[in-house]
Amino acid sequence: MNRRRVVTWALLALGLAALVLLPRFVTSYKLLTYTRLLLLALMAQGWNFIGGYTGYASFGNVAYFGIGAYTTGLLMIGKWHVPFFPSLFAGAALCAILAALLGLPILRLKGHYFAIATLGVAEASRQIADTWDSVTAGSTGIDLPLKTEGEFFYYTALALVVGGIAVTALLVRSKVGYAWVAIREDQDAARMLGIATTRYKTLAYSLSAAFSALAGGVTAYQNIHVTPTDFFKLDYTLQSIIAVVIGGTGTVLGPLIGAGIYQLLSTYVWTKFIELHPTVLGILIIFFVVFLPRGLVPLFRATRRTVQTGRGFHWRDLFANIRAHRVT
Amino acid sequence: MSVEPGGAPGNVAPGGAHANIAPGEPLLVATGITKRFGGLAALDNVDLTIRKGEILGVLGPNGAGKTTFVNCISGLEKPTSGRILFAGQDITPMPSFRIGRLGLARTFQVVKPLRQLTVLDNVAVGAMFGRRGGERTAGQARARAAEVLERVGLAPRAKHSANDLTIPDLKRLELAKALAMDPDLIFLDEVMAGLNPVEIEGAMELIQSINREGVTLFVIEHVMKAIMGISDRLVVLHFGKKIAEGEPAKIVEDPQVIEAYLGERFARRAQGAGRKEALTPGGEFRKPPEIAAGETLLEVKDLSSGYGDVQILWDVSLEVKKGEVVALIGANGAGKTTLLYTISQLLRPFSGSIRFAGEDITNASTDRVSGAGIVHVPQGRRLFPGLTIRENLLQGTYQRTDAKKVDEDLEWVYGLMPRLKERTNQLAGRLSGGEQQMCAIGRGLMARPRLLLIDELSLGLAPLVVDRLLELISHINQQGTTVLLVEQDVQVALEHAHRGYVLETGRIVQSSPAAELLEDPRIRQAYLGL
Repeated sequence: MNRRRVVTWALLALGLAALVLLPRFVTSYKLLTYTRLLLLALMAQGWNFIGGYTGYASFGNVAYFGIGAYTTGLLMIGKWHVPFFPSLFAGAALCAILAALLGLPILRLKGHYFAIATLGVAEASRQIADTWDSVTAGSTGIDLPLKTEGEFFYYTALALVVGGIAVTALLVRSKVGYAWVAIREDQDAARMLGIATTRYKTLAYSLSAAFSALAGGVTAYQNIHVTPTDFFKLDYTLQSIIAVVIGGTGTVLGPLIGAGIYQLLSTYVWTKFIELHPTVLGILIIFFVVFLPRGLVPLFRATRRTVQTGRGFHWRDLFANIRAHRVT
Repeated sequence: MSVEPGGAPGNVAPGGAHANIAPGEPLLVATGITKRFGGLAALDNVDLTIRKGEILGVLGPNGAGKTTFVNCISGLEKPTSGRILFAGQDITPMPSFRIGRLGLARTFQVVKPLRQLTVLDNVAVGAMFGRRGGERTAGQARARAAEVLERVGLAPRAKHSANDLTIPDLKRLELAKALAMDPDLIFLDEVMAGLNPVEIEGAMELIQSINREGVTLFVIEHVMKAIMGISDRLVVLHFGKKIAEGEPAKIVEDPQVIEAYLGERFARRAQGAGRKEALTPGGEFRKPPEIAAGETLLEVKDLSSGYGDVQILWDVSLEVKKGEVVALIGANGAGKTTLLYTISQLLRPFSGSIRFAGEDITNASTDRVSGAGIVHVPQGRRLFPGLTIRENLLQGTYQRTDAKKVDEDLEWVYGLMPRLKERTNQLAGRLSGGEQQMCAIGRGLMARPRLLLIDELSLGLAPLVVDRLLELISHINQQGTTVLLVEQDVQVALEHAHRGYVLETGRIVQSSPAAELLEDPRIRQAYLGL
């Protein structure tokens, strides 16, 4: 047990060191890809709280990505010229509060209906950004102060993702994590076990909104120009869900691993098949969902278990993962 | 409570937070509880008092409102009217999680494990959020969970995923989750359904020892032997009303109770429940009508089967002749359900062959199997809860091509079970257990089966309902349908079958005419618990 811990920590430290040193070895264009990867991971971590641990499929997290972007931008270019980081966290705080208020009614809905309601939230936010001319400058959008140092964005995103991992790891080992999983598995049972379900669901939704807002805020500063069509795209929500599914829903490292695979695949496919990019990417995603429905982290765990018991790698682990969500 | 050897000594008096209530004094007082679903009154003005320290048994036919009552008390549903006092405090308007934290725990009839969690973590959740959850860290809650698992005999399974447990273990897990909440009062909703007599003995002892440690218990149970053996008092519900209350011995003699719940045959048996030697199953044996030995309809030869790497059945051979009712009996986990699954090809056999009406159906597709006339009424009914009774019945006709005869058959099924006709437009999910079982059998019959496979006919049903269903089976059989019946209640099954097979750890160990099996001392010892 102890040796396993040492190995785990060593691997984590190695991974972190690689990520910290990465900007020294890649071009600034490639660094942009890696920054996007980290921002996707951040948003995926957020989705993982509500969708992965609590089991509520939110399709509207892009609403908070957009609101976070606008809040950060508007604070920076407004009367007081608030610096970037306070603006960024103000956006996250605003989204957390907003999500808590919205969550109270919509988290009472069951599965599909909750998903539809969150789609509504996303679409409504886009409409508001589009028409509230006096504040958001409508479809023209707003322009943030110029900042071009790629490393700044990369390290900001990295710090946020590492923070996200720490927060997730701490929460899932605490009572909060138990409550989330209990709600996901059976809400009536959870209530009878003494869990204040509404409170914990709202917390998960709020946290997921805050993470989306952080990703939105950093993206806004990096892209400079923020418009409703660019920042309320359903794509952002979908990409974060795909990332979590690839990595493993309800796991600490799943969102980062999934985001990494998704972003690198997407970039690779982009350079090889410019025309067919969405098609090829779509096929790869179907491949993952069909053959690894539980995601990579659970597969890794099962394999490690069999290897440690001295039986070596076994195809059975792979098949168990494949069968997990199948209709027989 | 003394359940926790590792806890700080003497910090909690027996009976927990409400120790100031003397044993025998009212702990929970429910007055005028009414619950309506639409026009239907599931509970009608029920007054009920639970006294501290007692085991209160609750009887009642399916649909009497027992589970609804527990739902109302535990806050999952709110009564239409009425008031609930728990230790003097009005809990009627409280959300269920708050009620749980006050020291009122329950189990669920349809078990609700947290499937992706380990058994230990399932129980830890109870310890974390229950009455004393506030005092514990997550780590302390896990330690407490380990103690509870030890207590209920689930410790060896602690690290397994709850998903991998068998039904008896899942029932035990329900109990463990409730115990981990350190409650004063536990509502047990059919924790013994599906257990064999030996397991029931164990469960009874466990329940009594929990009670001795100061926990008050409210026990819903159809297993007469168990409820008669452990209850201090009995309450009988019928159509949402309380029709009797008092000492167990007096209740089973109450004519109203016998009429509503027990039926003649079971009443006699229930009275003998405390006295083992008074039971003579042979004396109550009702000889089924003779049948002309027909041709072989189903022939299973050297069948081996299982799930993934786990082999459950070993070289099982069995034969069902045309016109027979054959009972398949055996302990939990013996492989009865697996055998039915393999026959209907929901599971692929490892080896061996299955022939039906002279045709080889080994490895055939499930639609071909049902098309050939084998229809499976699965354990747990598997109705389509969002469809009405009529729609469920019509689903059974999916493979038929004689559309004109369907209406006729619908009338035939309604004729066999008039209750289904009365409720034809009700959603199947809203039916009581007995009605659901009827609907499942009806759906099977609508496919015009030549062989009907029925898995656990009586599971969770009241004695009178079981009696009626078995008469129905005999009736269907006389009209020409062959039946292979898997049944937990061995005596009941053998009384209505022509022949029986005994399955033990995946192997057929005996096959005889039903009457002989009933008299066989080994069978009586092993399965009848006599």
